[in-house]
Amino acid sequence: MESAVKTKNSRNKRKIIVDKIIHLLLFFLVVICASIIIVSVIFILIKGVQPFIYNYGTDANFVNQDLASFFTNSRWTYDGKGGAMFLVLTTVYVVALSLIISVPTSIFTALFIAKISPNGVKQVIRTAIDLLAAIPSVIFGLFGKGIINPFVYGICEALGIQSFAGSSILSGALIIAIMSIPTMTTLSISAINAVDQSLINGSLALGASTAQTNMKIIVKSAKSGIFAGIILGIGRALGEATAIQMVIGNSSNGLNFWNIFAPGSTIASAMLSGINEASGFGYDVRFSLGIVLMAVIVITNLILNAIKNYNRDKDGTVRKFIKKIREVLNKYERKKSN
Amino acid sequence: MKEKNPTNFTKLIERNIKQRKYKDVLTNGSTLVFSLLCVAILFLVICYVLFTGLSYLTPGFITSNYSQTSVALRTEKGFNLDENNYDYSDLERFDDVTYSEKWGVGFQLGKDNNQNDVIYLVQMSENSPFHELIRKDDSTRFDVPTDMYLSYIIVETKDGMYETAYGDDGIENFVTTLDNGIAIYDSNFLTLGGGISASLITTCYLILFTLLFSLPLGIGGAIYLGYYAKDNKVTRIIRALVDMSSGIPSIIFGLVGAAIFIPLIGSMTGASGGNIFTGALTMTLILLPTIVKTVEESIETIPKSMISASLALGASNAETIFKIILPNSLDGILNAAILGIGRTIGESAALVFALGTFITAAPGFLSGNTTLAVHIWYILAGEYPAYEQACAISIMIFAVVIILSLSTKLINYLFKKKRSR
Amino acid sequence: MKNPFKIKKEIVSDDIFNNDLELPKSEEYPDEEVIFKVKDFEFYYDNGEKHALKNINLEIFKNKVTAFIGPSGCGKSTLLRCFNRMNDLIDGNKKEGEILYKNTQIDTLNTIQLRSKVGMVFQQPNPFTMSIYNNISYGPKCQGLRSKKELDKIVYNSLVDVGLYDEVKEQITHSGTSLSGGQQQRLCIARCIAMAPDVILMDEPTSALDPIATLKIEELIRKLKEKYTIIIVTHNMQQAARISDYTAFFMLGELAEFNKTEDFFAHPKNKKSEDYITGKFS
Repeated sequence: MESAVKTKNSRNKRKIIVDKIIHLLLFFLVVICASIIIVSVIFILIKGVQPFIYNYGTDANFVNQDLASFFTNSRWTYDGKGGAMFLVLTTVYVVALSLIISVPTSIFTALFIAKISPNGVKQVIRTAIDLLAAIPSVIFGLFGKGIINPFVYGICEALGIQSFAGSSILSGALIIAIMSIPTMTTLSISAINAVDQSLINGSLALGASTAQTNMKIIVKSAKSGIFAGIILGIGRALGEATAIQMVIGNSSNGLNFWNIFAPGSTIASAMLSGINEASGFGYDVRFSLGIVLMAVIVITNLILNAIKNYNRDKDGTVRKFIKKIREVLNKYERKKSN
Repeated sequence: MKEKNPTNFTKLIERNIKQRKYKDVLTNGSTLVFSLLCVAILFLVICYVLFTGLSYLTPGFITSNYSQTSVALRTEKGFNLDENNYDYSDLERFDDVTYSEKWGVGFQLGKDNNQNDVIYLVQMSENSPFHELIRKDDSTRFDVPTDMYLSYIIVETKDGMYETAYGDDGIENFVTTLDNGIAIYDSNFLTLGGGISASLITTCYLILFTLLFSLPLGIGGAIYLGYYAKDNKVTRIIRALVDMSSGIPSIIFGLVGAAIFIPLIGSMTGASGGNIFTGALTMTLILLPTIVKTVEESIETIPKSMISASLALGASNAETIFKIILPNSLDGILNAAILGIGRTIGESAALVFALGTFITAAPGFLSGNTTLAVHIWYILAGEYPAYEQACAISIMIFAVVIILSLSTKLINYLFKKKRSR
Repeated sequence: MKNPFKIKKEIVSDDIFNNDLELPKSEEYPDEEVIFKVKDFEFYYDNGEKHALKNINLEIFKNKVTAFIGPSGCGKSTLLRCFNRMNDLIDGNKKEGEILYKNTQIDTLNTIQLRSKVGMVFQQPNPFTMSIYNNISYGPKCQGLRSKKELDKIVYNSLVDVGLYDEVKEQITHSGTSLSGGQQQRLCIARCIAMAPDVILMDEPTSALDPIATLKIEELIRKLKEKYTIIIVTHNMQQAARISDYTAFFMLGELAEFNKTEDFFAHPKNKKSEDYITGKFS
């Protein structure tokens, strides 16, 4: 009897120790998972600052990356005077162009899947969207290079515009649009399904047709969910590298806003092209571009979330805040004029 | 009764009712058009890849190396075919094989990985002088392999002249020229090039190691977040950090992987540049947030009562984790693994940096390698993009992706059935 | 699932828009004009598996408040939703018999036309997530009214009619969801009368509201019956007694009794009605 209790006690002790070890181990694992982003950001920052500081000294005119021209120069070069600003502008421009196609397509498709289509058709289109989401970006790049570029080239030929074998900002925007449709559609579907049925009934009872209800009530009520999907899609699109690098032409010259048939270069595509340098300035400056890319993504997200919250602003806090800022500015101006 | 509202809708509605109907059909129709556009894009991608690549997707393409190896063979000096009498009676005859009666060998038309006609040496008699061929450069004996094709043979004729038989002359001309000769002065045997065997093997290894690194980490993290974590500041920060890392583009992780893991693995093993381990560790960075989230979601669907019951029966936390939580979150773990496989197969931007674009002949763990996706990117990057090969590889990736997404559906279906029971 | 792309053949009736149309007099109550007539009506859910309404014969009188009462699941809401064909939205519904609105079979009418003449107020206040102004002008705008002046008039009149104007005139551009529950419900009524309907269907309009808001809605209903025919489903017998002119009592999908309200509560003809009124079951 006594021995039995004893063994039980020792077993319990062991159990407790094992428990503690497992707890600590799991905590350690979760800390690793969480620290990935911190370590990544720190490494990118350290490495990305190097091109501005180190002496690369390969020739007399070139010591390191010039900070001023990094922000102002409109050409991307590896001689220390390259400017990243035009890469940022092109990136934002390409993504903005792609939204013209992807946003309406996603919203209408989501509406069709969630509210209009018969059950069988719904399954087919859902599966198509899921498969589209699962296709790797390199295959989209292949598709872009094999189909979209010749297509754009054809348009250029027909219009008599000079083109770079179809490698252009337009092709990049088309590919980005195709790639962001699945994300946006999937999130829009859940947003539309979450719309309260009583609102829909209310609209129908007022003599609105189903189509009017869909456009005026459902899409409006699902607005914030749809917007969240668009934000996610934009975030992915900004960081997309392989597919866009394969179709956009990777020109190092500045952005030409009015000619979408001209080749361009986004931040990620500039990072990916010229891959052959394995060390030295050309390698290190990619980390500087990495900082720029992360900054662009973070800033875009902040701006878009601010817009989203401004629209949803029920108590008017953001509006009040803006009003306050205006008042302060007005006061300041009045003081100045006095 | 008097109408107080100024507008009587009567006329308005009557006027508009037909117009509105067509407007509605137009709106509904446009949703259909956009949906069909999505389906059409998918269809177009699949069709393009299939029609361009399918004829290139041959067993030879999958099993052969990317680089070609060639070997130049000749007969020994002073060899004269006419001086000996060979007995080729052991040669079994087939209709679709063309035989050189003088040399006792059979040739067949085949295709290389670029779909060009080439001539394969498919049959040899036991007594054929082809068994006695030596290397031209170092005069060592070389057994002629039957998986190599011939690009040309230069034969010495009776009157001391040289005649060249080219592989693309057609098989009859080739054999006639060969039969004119009494000795082989030079020949060029080639292996099939442009294949993907090394990249395929590397991809498999990469998936294996990625899952090996990322699953334990991710599952551990998910269990901590789903089981132990209390709702406090530390947990919230951890969650926010994990969420944030899923928003970082993979190319950034590629850079991080290249900056951290390549020097790290290099200093540990002496490997220079990217290898399978650096690639797998980088993929682990990319996959972890997704794995943590997927598994945690599945842990959260386990009824709290089940966990409480286990604890109330005197099981420790560790026992509850191993006996209740892990078995019940199996669907989440499987889904996470499938997601991981899919992402690893398709990932290109990060692996360009962290693994490299070096297409090798023989995959090694610590030497430069590349995966199928990067292989596609690499063969399209040059002056002459090889669309057909790229599409052939894409078909394979497509097949895997479709199988994976089907198996996700199957897993969800099976576990739903099990749960509802 | 219905085909959303098919244009159904429906008649566009002039009759139902004619406010001066001669309506037939009721046989039982000769003073009253019949606006809705339900004849041998049967209704099923789940492809005929659930028999929700059995052999209903009923007349609804113009400019009167008719209350539908009965225990839960007795079919009163189902019948209410049949009047503006909201039940058509439910998959697997099946109906037999007919409902006549101003002598016209409602199934032959265009639903848009019907619903713009037969408005509905729901149990939960459901203002759209848009401004108060847009909430009220939504219906007219959907009918193709574009004139800003007319819309302003309609919004003003509707808000005055439901007594909401003084309360919200400062915040007409604020979201409709920012109002209190009672105000939201009155906004929904305003939204409904902005369409200038003949009939307003009310599906337990006060069940989600506090007593004071309920009182306001009841006052409003009493005021509105001068201009509109009102059918109200309610759980609250006192409410039915307070506001209605006629009462229909439903039991297990059947119409157990239909009578003038004072008669119904004073001398119920039916044993079941008496039991229900005295609270023997609910």
